[in-house]
Amino acid sequence: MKHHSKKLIDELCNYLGQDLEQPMCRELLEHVQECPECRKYIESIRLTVSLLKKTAKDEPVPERVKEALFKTLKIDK
Amino acid sequence: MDEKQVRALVNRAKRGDHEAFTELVNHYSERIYNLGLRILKNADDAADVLQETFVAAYEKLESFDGRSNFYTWIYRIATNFALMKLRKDKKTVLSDQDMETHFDNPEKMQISEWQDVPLQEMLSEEFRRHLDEAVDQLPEIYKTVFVLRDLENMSIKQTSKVLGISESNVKIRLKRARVFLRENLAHYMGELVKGVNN
Repeated sequence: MKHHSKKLIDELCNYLGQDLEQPMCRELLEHVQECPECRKYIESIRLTVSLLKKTAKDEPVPERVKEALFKTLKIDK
Repeated sequence: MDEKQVRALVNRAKRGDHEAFTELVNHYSERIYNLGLRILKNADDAADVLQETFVAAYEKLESFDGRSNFYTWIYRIATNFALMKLRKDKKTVLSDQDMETHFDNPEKMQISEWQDVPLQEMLSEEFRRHLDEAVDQLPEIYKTVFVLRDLENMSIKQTSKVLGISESNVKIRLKRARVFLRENLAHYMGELVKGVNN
């Protein structure tokens, strides 16, 4: 990404900190359609986030932990 | 349970209705426990966070004024407890300064080539462990933003309320965290591909 304008780099940085499912601003979108390097980079960020989401499975709260919590709170389950 | 039902339970609990508080605990405990697990990576620590959060919520319920929603309020309490634990128990590998220098400007970054790795490798236990470790290496201020926004699916606005920072700060931290994780993963994928080819 060495030959990109500062404005474009700023747009790219802004996009990477937002909702990645949201459409890009027009300038960035037009650029990405022409630039395989940026397209691949954004896709790799999306893939990273989606892989991490997929592996982040919820664990149930162990029964003994719940019991201890209600005991501390002195309330019934 | 929608926000209106939660508010009704909170109002009952405020008037001393234990049954209503029990319902709130049952409704939110799994999410709080998993938030603790994601930040601290340890089941005992996550159990402590769960306990400390609901004890504090029980004691402070009177002060909950309903300006934010209950979910944001309780997440804020839980995140603070998790962060206190993290600060006490853990050394951070990277500093805030490192993150700013390396992950703020793609022009200056050494961007690792993204390697295509077979799907089967991506589903392996080792790959998952590596992903977990990568998140764990994030400095806490980036890790909490990433966990809340990308793993807990909170909006930028909710994340900013839970952490008490501006929305633009959330976006900056989120970008740095994602770029760091992407670089970490790209490097790991490169090693995997090398291993397959040798």
